[in-house]
Amino acid sequence: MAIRATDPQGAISDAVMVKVNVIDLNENPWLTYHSVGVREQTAVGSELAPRLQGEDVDFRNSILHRSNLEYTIVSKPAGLSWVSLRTDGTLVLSAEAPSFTSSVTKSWNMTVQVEDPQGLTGQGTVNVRLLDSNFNPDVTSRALTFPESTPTSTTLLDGRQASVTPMGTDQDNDVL
Amino acid sequence: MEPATGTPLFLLTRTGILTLGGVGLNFELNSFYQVFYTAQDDGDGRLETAGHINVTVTDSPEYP
Repeated sequence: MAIRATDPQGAISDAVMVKVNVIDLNENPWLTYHSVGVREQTAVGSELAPRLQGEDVDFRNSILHRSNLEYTIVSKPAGLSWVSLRTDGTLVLSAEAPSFTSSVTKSWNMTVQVEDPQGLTGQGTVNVRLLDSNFNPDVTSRALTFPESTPTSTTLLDGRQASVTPMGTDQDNDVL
Repeated sequence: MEPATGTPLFLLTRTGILTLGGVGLNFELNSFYQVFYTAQDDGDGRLETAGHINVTVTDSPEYP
């Protein structure tokens, strides 16, 4: 920009160009809310989708790239010990997920920190949901014995009654 | 195995009730049957598993 200096009488003046350089300062990254679904009986070691992606205004100036961000778990509930986090933001199934049918809790929140290369950090919430999978019914062979004189239309087995072994069971508690 | 009339020897309802069909069983004709069935759930894909029941008919005294 141009700056002009003029003496009080206005007779003499001069101008000079002043160049102003704006220096970029690093700003904190942040992590938006993420929600990840995990199907029961997913293989241990599986990577969960989507991968966490932090945000940073410095991306716009190309000082940083998203891949430069690192992620760590700040806190997570005890019931979520089966999920771990790589520094690149990939959530991994580190142990067997609980059964959907038997697990009272089916959704957990954990706090994750995202850090840029200059050490500035931000935090966000990551939700992990346990998803139901349907499994085949379980059927066991059974044997019945009855005399030949048994009248027709006699009930030989009622699979609905708890007093007899049902003709099939289902770990999902589905109706058979 | 079914008699010539086509009447089934055993009936199985969708809810799992097995009953003797409309024809009486004769020990002297046959004393062992297998009833094959499938159990189907009402979850995603309505998954099925096959099973079977072994049915043994015992002899009863009959008039000479």
